[in-house]
Amino acid sequence: MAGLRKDIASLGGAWSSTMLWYARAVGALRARPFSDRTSWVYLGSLHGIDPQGWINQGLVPDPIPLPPPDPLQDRFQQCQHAGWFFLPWHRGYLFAMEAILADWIADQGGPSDWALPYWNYLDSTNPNARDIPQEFLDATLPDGTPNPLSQALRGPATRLGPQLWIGRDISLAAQTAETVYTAIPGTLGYGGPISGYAQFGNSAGANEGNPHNLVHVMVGGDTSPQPAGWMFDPNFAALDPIFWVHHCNVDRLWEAWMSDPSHNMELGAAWKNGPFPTQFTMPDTSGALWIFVPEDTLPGATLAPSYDNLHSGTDILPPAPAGGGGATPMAAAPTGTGQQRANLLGANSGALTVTSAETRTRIRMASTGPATALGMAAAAPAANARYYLNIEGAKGTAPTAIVNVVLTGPDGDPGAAGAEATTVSVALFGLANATESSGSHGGSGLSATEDVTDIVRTLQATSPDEIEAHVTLPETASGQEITIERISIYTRQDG
Amino acid sequence: MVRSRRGAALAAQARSGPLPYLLGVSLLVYTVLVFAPVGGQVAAICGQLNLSALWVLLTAVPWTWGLWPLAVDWSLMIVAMMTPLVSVQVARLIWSSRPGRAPFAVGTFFAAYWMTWCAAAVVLIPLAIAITAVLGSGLALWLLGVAALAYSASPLAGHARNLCHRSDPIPAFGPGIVIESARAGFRMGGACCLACWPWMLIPLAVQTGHFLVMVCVGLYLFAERIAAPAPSAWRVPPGLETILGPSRISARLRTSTPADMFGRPKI
Repeated sequence: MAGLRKDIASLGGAWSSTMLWYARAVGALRARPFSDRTSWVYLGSLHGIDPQGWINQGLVPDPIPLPPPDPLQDRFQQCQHAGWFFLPWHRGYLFAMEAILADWIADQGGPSDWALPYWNYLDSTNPNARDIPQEFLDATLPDGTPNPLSQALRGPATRLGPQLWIGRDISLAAQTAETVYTAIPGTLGYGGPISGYAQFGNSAGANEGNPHNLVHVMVGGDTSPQPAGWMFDPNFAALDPIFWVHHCNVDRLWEAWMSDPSHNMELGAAWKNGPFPTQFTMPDTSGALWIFVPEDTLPGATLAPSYDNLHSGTDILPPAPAGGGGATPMAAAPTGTGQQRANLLGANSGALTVTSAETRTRIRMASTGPATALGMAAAAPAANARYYLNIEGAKGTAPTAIVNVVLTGPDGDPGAAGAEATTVSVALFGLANATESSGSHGGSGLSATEDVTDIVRTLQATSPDEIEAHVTLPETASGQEITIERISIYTRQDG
Repeated sequence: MVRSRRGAALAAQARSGPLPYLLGVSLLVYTVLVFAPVGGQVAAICGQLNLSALWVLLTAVPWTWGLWPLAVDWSLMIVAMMTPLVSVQVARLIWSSRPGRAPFAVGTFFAAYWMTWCAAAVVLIPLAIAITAVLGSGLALWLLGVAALAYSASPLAGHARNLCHRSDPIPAFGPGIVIESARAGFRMGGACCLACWPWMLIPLAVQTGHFLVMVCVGLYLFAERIAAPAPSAWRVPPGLETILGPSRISARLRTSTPADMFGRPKI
């Protein structure tokens, strides 16, 4: 059984025993060849790999030495994003990495209960919570040897938060705003919409969109035209040791969310049994492969982690006293989608090409849409309806793209005072992978969903028929372009 | 630790989205094919031929038998075998349509998809007739089976399958709904034809046991369709992996170059 996962900030200052052992273990795994399934590079490739990019950066030799065949088959580029398997797959991934690190640490005489720590970046009681922990910045370990935790390509930021090229902050909104795990397509749920086995499915859930995606891009940094920071690119991200403490916190946020009895965790058979026919495959400490299904990651199951605290920096306050390290009590209602209903309210008329220069498009809303022979106009949404902006089928060659959308009335000025309040920034993490049609992706691109309820309500008060979307990429993405198949607005009514 | 639960995962998937309804349509049409007089018309023609009759047949079929039983038989075969294969596209059309307009989008998509396969019949049926006439039904069955498996293992088939995984956007308003749904149906139909065409020759080559072979091929194609996208490279036919599971097939049979395994071409 793995040990208790603790907040890095609670470990007693920089270079605690936990972090020192983490650094040493990372160094040891980095010394192992790719053909060893317990090596840092092999484990990183399970998340994503750009073979030539890895060779160019000297991470692996050319040709890449493959592990010996295993009956269960190596599943490279296995990470599940933009779908409802994002959280359980990454929990299994954390379990595998943690077990391999802990095994090496125990072999070296370290603590037998070592566990991955987490980066509690949204702890409002800690003014330094958003700072990248010092252990990931120091060039050397306390003994003067090179520090494996800082050996990664990153952007210039050392603190999480809005930057010139991304005008949006990380938040815990997902923890309380989304009470249902499974998203109805076109809307948000905590864990994302139904998906199959897909490294990049259709659209991210609330947890994945923020804070997960935003922390990736803030740490990785948009360093174009220089090579992207590792965290910015899913084909490099898991090579950065900070990836694991970030994902440990994302995983803890899910654990805390599940502990709230008012939340509806998905417990349907299609989720619990995982995708078919391709399944999730991880190596154990001996390098043998094993398979897991999402049900194995639920509280009390084989892969369930233990956290020291589910309250700090999670916005979740379970009513029952929580014993540290115990199994999390889970909301029992097996209603993954609750009693929600959703439908398409409006959309623009065609595909867009988006650059750092502004592109405008009109979203025609159903309130005045003609009730033609092709269908009836929708009933007016209820007062408690929520509205969601969807950027559908985005494609591009950048590993990740930030898309800024300002919503105004027809012919509105996106630079007008107060316009920043109607700006939506989304991180399309893994855009290039999702665009690629010749590989292990369908090439359908990525979609993103954002809650724009307040903005739409305000705009509809003055212009109920149409909303104008002003779409740009950041200035730092000069020279780049992406295409977007459709921009739409969905509405959802709960209960 | 191996906890695969493949059967439970498959059963749950078969109950998801529009798939149960599409499987129901497929089952219904299979039943019609068993009992309707047009069922097995194409296979019956193939089974009655030999090499000496081939020229006569190719010139005389349209006039002696008439085209409509063949067309109906082929159309029903397509509906029975292919309907479950477009479940993901149908789901996408439904949720990306305005309320009340999904039936038009889905109906248009199916019409275009079906027309694409009917166009393919102009090539596939004469080809099946010629192959059966030259080789005889028994030999043709085995050779077509081997050829279809070899094709499924090829990069071209892999590319076609990946095209089947792509989704198509449709507008929310206006006649564009019909236009784009039709475009999606034609595109998807073309991709399916490219991915499946050798398999469709197999049931045509068999008169005795025609329906059983048709059902088996339909199940195999479904197994290929639900496999995840993969690099366009030589590989074990994905339908076999779906049916047998990875542990039943020697890992040594799989592609072994890094670029193929990682799913990204070396630059």
